[in-house]
Amino acid sequence: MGDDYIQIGDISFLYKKGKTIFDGFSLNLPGDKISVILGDNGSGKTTLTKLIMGILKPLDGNVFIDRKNNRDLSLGEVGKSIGYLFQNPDHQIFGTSVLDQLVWSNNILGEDREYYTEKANNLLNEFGILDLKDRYPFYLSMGEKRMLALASVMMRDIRYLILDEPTSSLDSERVDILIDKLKYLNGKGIGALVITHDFDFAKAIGHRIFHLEDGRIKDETI
Amino acid sequence: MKPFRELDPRSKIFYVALVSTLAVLLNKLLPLLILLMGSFIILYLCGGNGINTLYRLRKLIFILVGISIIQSIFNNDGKALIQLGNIMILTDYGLFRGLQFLLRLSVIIVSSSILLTSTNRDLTQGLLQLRIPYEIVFMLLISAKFLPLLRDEFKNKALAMELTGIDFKKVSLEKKLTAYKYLLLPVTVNSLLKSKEMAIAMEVRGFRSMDRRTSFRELKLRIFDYLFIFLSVVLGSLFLIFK
Repeated sequence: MGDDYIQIGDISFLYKKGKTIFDGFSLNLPGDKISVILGDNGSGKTTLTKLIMGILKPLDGNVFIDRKNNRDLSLGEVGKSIGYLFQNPDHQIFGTSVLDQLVWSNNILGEDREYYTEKANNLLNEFGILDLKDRYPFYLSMGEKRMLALASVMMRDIRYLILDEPTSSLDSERVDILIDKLKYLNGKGIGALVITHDFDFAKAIGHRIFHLEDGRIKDETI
Repeated sequence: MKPFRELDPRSKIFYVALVSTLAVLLNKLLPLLILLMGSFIILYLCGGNGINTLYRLRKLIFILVGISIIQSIFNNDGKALIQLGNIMILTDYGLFRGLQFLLRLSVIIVSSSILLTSTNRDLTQGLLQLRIPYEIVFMLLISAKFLPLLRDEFKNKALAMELTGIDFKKVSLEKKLTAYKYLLLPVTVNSLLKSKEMAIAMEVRGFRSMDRRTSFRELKLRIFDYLFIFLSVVLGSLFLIFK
């Protein structure tokens, strides 16, 4: 199985009453590299990330995460090792304040409050949103929400990251922070799959860049 | 059946109001069952998906069981079917009340589904021609569109919550309840923010900028509509007379 952390084997998928998105699609994603998928709207990029996370189930074929079939894992188990950033950050914002957004799950799980509060403050600082920590997250701009969602994903000790359109509605300064952060995490051995339309961003971070078209990898740049 | 498919929304509204009222007034199981079957047939003839509605009604079985047991335990009428010591867990009266409630609710749900066979535009126009103020009609229309969005938001948030690594199958009930509290707040706040945005968008489009609103397309009741309303009244009266 090599060093591939995610192995997508011969999967087929179609939405109800919809066209076929994938038909015998395979792809291996190494756990220590940043892989980027570029593609037009409707090419199946987000569907692919949902199939990896187990949010959607393939009709045929399997997805293996760290050699375990994701059909046998609950969403919670997948979420423990893979951090997932939704295309719409509103989906994953729950806290009553920016700081609370980072610590609510640790709070529920009864973890060491001092440790996770310090970690949360550090992350907010790294993502440039520490000054917003007492604000209601619902009133933040889309770019700020995206950074907050990403920071809250980082609260867990994840092994891999999947980011769906992380740069949309981010200004250039925050894109640079994101690039630095991804490179820093990659240096610590955390791999990532990034879905984007932004070719410059893809070139800045990607070890491998795939171009997805109609449910197939059209070409790959290493 | 083309005439049913082209039924005026006002005829459907009349039928739904009549059948729902009858469902509340009737007490015996057989008339309620007949009302339910009748509503299913009309739903089918109007082009609605009766099987889908029936499939969704399966969830009401829990209500039947719950009400039957509550009525059996707290109301001492009837013959015991299941008994634990002195406590009657299930009586024939409890079962009757459970079935009665289930049928009533099903009649209201199935008959209301008939309204969904009209387009939103037609339904709005029908209500306006029934002299219901436009603001109230618009509010109803928006809430009908808003509910599926709210449901989707709940689903997405619950999914995102699981993906944070909280294994809901393994955490205690107390932690689960705390997690649900975190689910409710953002959904409520987001709904309020969306409503605010929608209100602004409506103002921008000139909502209520004129005192009187005119319609390009007006609905007209046809002979089949009059016949349908007349037959509904006759059958409804028969139900009441022989109840």
